Amino acid sequence: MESVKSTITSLFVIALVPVAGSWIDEMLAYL
Amino acid sequence: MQSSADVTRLIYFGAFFSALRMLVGGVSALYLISKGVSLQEIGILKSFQAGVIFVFDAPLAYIADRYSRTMSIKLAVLFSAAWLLVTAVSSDFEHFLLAELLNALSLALFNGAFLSYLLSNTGKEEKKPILSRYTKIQHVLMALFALLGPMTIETVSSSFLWYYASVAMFFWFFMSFVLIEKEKSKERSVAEEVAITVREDLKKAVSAVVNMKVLMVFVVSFGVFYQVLIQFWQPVLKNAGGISDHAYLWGVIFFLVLSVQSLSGYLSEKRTRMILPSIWVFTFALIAIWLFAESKELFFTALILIIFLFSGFSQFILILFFMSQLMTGSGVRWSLSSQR
Repeated sequence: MESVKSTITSLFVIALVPVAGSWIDEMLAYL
Repeated sequence: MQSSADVTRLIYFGAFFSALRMLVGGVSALYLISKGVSLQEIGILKSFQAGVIFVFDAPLAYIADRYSRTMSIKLAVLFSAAWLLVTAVSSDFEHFLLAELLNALSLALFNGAFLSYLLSNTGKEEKKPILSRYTKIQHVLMALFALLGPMTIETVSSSFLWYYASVAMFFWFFMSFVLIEKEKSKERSVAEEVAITVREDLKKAVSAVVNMKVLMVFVVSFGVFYQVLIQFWQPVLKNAGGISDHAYLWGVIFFLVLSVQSLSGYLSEKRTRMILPSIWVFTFALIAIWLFAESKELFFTALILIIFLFSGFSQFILILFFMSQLMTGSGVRWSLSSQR
């Protein structure tokens, strides 16, 4: 089950981290 | 089986490898930003790294099992040295991408070989204590090196740290020929199991998402959040907390982050009876600092530490999850890749 968790997490990390980067960039620009 | 002195040597070899990588950890994101890399590009670098590891993890573990784990470990150290050097000399995104490729390959090579190699050099009854000893030594050295690295430079934009971390890693690569001996006997090959596990995991991953198992969704969301946090805590703390570019400050903060994580992970796994009181004590202490902090810097540092503290306790939730799965008999299968 741990490896299933890692697989799903990896797929989400690959897809979402660049998006998170631009969100954080915008958020920091407001601060 | 090798003698305990050989095993100790192996443990320190692996722990120092992880620790040398941590020399740059406290300032890595800020260094890239100082070279003109945007936060979105940092995200792309992380995504690229995760993608490379995802693709190459199982094949590299297979090659290590089939041919030579010692070669994989030596290559992992060499690739880490190259990653640090390429980062030191680069000033554009494409070169940083190349550096990240080397970093990801290094991690995949090391993960696919080191623990299997260490365990194949220990007796059956010694495996658990050896792993726990390795983790403990590794965490202590990582925190120390995370503190020491930034102490040697003035500002976060200095490439000097990356150069000497690279030189140290090249030295460690040469030391690997002295410290890592050719494997005398190999345990049964687990490479095919790893390959099958990856396929099965993908199937299970899809069905887990489709079935929306609540805890699974929580655990995965936390995993993704944690990876985002690892990647962006430095720019967030710098911009929102207003912490200066003095490198030593970042070394101290990263030392605290790693210490809090190790401590909370340790308490979660080893001292389940102490976990609730520990959560209260740590949380109250940090919230007190957070509430009464007179400076913005301290306020945001405490906030980041609280978040990292809970990332350690999330391991505890995972253990509970596995136990509940085992009790309901839904067939938890411990594969080698999950142990790495």
